[in-house]
Amino acid sequence: MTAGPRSDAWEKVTGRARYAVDMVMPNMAHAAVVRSERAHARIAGIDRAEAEAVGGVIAVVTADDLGHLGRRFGHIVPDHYVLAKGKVRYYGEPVAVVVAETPHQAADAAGLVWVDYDDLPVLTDSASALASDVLIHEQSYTEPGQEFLGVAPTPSADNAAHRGELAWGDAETALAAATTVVETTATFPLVYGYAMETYNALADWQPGSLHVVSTAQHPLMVRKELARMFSLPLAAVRVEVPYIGGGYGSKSYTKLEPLAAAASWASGRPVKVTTDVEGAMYTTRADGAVVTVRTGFDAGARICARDIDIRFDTGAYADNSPLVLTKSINRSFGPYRIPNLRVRGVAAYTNTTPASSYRGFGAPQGALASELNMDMAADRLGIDPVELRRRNLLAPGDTIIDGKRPLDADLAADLDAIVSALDSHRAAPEPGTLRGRAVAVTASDAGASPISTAQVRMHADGSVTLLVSSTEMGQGSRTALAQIAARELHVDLDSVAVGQSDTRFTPFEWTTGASRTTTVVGLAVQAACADLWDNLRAKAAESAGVPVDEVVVHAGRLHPAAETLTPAEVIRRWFGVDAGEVVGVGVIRRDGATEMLPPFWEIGAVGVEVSVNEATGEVTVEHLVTVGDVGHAVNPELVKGQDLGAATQGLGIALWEEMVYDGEQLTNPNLIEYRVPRLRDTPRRITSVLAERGDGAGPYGAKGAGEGALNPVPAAVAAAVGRAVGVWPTELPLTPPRVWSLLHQAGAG
Amino acid sequence: MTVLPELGLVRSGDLDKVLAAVDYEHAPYAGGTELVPAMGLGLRRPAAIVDLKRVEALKGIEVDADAGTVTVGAAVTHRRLSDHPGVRERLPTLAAAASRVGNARVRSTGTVGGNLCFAEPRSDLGCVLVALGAMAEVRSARGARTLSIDELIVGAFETSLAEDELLIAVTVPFEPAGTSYWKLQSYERPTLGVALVATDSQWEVTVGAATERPTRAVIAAGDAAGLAAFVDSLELSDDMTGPSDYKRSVLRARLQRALGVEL
Repeated sequence: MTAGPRSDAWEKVTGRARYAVDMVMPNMAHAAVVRSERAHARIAGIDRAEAEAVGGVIAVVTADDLGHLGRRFGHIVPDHYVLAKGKVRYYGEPVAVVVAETPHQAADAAGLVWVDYDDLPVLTDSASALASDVLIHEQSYTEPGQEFLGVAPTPSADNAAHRGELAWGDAETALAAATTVVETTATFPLVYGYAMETYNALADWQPGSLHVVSTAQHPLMVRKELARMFSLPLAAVRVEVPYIGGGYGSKSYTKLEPLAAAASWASGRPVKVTTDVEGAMYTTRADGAVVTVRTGFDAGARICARDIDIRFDTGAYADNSPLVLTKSINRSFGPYRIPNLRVRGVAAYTNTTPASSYRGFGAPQGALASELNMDMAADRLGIDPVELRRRNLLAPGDTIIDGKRPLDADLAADLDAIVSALDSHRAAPEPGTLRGRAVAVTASDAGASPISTAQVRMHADGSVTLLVSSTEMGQGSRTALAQIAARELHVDLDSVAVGQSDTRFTPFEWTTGASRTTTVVGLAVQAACADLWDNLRAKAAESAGVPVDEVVVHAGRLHPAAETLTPAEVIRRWFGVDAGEVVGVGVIRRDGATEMLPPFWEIGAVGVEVSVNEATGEVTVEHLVTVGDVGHAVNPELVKGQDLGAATQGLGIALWEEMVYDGEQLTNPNLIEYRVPRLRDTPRRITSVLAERGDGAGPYGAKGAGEGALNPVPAAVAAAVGRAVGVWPTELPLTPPRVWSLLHQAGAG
Repeated sequence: MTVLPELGLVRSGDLDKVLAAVDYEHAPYAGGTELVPAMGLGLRRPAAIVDLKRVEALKGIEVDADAGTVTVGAAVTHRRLSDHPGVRERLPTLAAAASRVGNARVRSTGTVGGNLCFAEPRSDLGCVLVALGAMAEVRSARGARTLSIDELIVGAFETSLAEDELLIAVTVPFEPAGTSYWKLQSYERPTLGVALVATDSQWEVTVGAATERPTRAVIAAGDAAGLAAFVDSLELSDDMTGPSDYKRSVLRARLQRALGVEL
C-alpha cells in the first residue's frame, strides 16, 4: 500500500500500533502507587500490614526497602528519591508502591497502606516560597560531577532550585535615559502536558540486567540514569520505547522508570506501573511563571534596553527546570535589536507537582510578558504594534546572543505573511461582541546537543531498514526520516522501514525534543546514506575489479566502468547469492554544519483575531495564522500538523488550562475540570503558512518545527483580548469569568 | 491508576426482575456516564450493578397526539432522544438540548434516566424538563407512583426516589410556542442554563446548573421588577466555572436579551 501522508497511518487507525501501555511480559505483576495526601510533611510511619495481607499482594515497597537503590536521582539536581524518604514535598508524591498479581489486588491493597504524617508549613506559591524560612529541601545538592549542558546545581540557602542571569551593556543606565519605559508583569499558569497515553513503564530486573519498556521521550537519558542507579553497565540496561501516545516534553528524562525498576528489583517480578490522568498530573507539569519586563525606547521607538525578571514555580523537585529556566532566559527578550539587556531568573521550589520540560521549553512563559509588553508599548508610543516590531526586529544574519549562531530566519517576511493573512479576512464585530487582533514573534535556541547516530541497512532487494533512537510520539518523525532516506537513496518511501527505538538495537541519540529531529537526526540519516553509497561503491569496484574512483554514482545507479547497476545488483553480486546487506552509519556531533550552537533558531510567528462576548466574557478565536519558518518542509502536511497542534496547545494555555491548588491539594486533577482544547474550540479560520527559504542547517536547508507555533500564542491571545476589551490582561488563562472582570474594569475605567 | 472494584451483575430483560433487584447495594446501570465516574471516585460502592439496557419497557418513545404528550423511557439515550422525529417535532427545545449534552460519547450511551436520577445540578435535561412541567413515572416492587420532575429533583445529587425505586419514564407535554433553552458552557457541563416559556401573559423562567436544582418562577409578562427580584433572589454557585456575581450578570444579560426588558 502507499504510504500516504504518514507511514504509520494504517497501524494507528486500525489500532494495531503498539504503545508501552500495551506491552506485557511473562509473569508480569502490577503495581499501584500509594500517593501522599499531604503537600509537605514528615513521614512519621508507614503501616503496611493490612495491605500485605490482601490476597495476591507480592510486595509493599517503601523507601526503606530500597537499599542502595535509595539514592536520589535527577539529571541536573539530584534531589529526588524514587519513593519519598523522610518527608513528602507535594500532594500526590509516591510514598509506597504495592506489587500484586492483578491491578485490582494492587489497587485494593494500596488503599490499605496507612501513612502517618507530621505536617509542615505548605508553600504552594513561588513568591511566598522564596520569602519563607521553611525549606522544602533542607540541603543543596552540589555533589561533584553534577553538571548538565553547562547547567550545574548552585548552593542555595533558600527555596531556589536554580538561578540564572544573562546581561550585556548596561540596562539600568539605559532605562534611566530612555524616552519611554513600559513595564509589564504577567502570570503564566501551572499547566499539565496532557497526552492521550499517560506515563507508564514496565520493568524487568534480573541479576546483572534491566529491561524497561516505557513512554520515555529520551530512552538513552533514561538508560544512563537507570545504569547509575542499579550500578549496571550501559549495555546491561535495555530501554525500549514503542510509539508514544503524545509527549510534548512532559515525557523527557526519567519519570516512572525508576519506580517500576525498583518495584521489579524488590518483588523479583516484571512490574508494570501505569497512571491515570490524576497520576500523570502528580508526575510532571510545566513551570508556572511570573515575569516582569521593563523596556526602554528612544524617541524613534527603538529599544534601548530591556530588563526582565523571571520567577518560576518549579514545584517540589527540580527535574529539568534548571535547564528550562536557562533557556527561558535566552528566549525571553525576543528577536529584537537590544543594545542593553539584563535578564534574571529564579526557579523556586514549591509544594506542588514538580515541573519540567514542556513544549516551548521556557519560551512561552517569557514571551507572554515580553510580547504583551511590545503591544502595550505600541499603544503608549502611538505606533502600530506590527510597525513597532518591524522597527526593532533583527535581520537575517544578525546576532541574537553573542557567540551563538546568527539569526537564520527572515522575521520581517514572516510578519508580512501574517499581516496579509489577517487583513484578507477582516470582519466587523457581531452585535454584542468586541474584536481584537495581535501578532507575536519568538526565537528559541533549539535543537539541543547536535549528537545523533543513524544506521541504514540496505537489503539484497534494495529496500532499506533505517535505525534511529529518535522516538515517535505522533509528530511523524519516522515518516520524515524515511522520506530523507528515500530521497538520498533513490528508493520509494514504501521501501524504507523505520525501527522503533530500542537501546539494545538502535544507535545513540541525544534526545527527542527541542524540535531537533528533522534537522539533527535528518543530518545523521543523510550521513548514513552517504556512507552507504561509499560502501556500495567500494563493493561495486571490488566486484568489477576496477579502482573505486572509477565507479561513478549517479541518480541512484552505480557505474563501474561501462556497466549500470542498481544498489541491489551490487549487493547480490558482491555476496555471490541473492542475499546479504550493506550498512551505512552516520554520526553527527558538534562539527561542520552543527559546530555552532544552537543548531538552529526555532521561530514562532503567529497572528490571532479574537472576538469577546460582552455579556459572558467568552473568547472566540476568529482567525489563527501560523508561519512555519522551517527553511524546508520535508513533509509539508506534517509541519502544518505540528504548527496547528502547537498553536492549539498555546490556545489551551491562553484560554483554558490551569492546575488550581486550593491549599495543599490540586482541585482539578481530571479532564472535566482541567479543560484542554476541544474540537469546538478550533479557530473559525486557520491560515497555515510555510516559509521555505532554505536557511536552516538541516537537510535541504531544513530547520525544526514542533514548538515554535506554541511559543507566541499565549502572548498574542492576551494582547488581542486586551485590545478588544481595552484592559491589558495580567494573568492566563483568560477564562470567561476572568475576561468578564476585565470587561468590568474597562467599564469602570 | 483508578481501578474499579469487582462488581456483581444483574441482567434481565424483564422489568419485574430488575425492580426486584434494585436497592442501595444494587445500582441501576444504563449508560454508566454518571455511575462509573462516581464509582471511580469512590462515591458509590455498590455490590452489583443492575443492567437496564435490555429492558425494552424502559426504551420507548411514544408521542400521544390526543393527550398532547411525549413519553420517554428512562433508558433512552440522549442521542435517540435528540434524533427522534416525534421529539424533534413536539419538543424541539428538549431535542436540541439533548443534542448538546456532554460530548458524543456521553450522548451515545448516557440516558435520560441516569441524567435525572443522579440529580447533577449541571444538567440540561433537568432544567428543560422542569420548565416544561414534565412528569416522572416511578416504580418499585412495592408499586408505582407519578410525580413531577420538580418533585423528583430535591437538591444537588439528591432525588425523592426511595432506594428500591426506579424511574421508568418521563411524560412531557408538547412544548408551547415561546419555549427556549440557552446555556453558558465553558467546561464539560453547563455553567448556567436558562429555560424560558414566554407567552403574551407570562414568563416562566427556569434557571439551572448554577443553582442546586432547577429553579422556576412564573412572572407576569412585562414585570421587570419581578424578574429582577427573582434573579437577585437566586443562590448561585461559586466554583471553578466562575463566581456567583459573574453568573448573575450573565443570567441578567441573557434575560434582558431574550425578553427585551431592562433589568
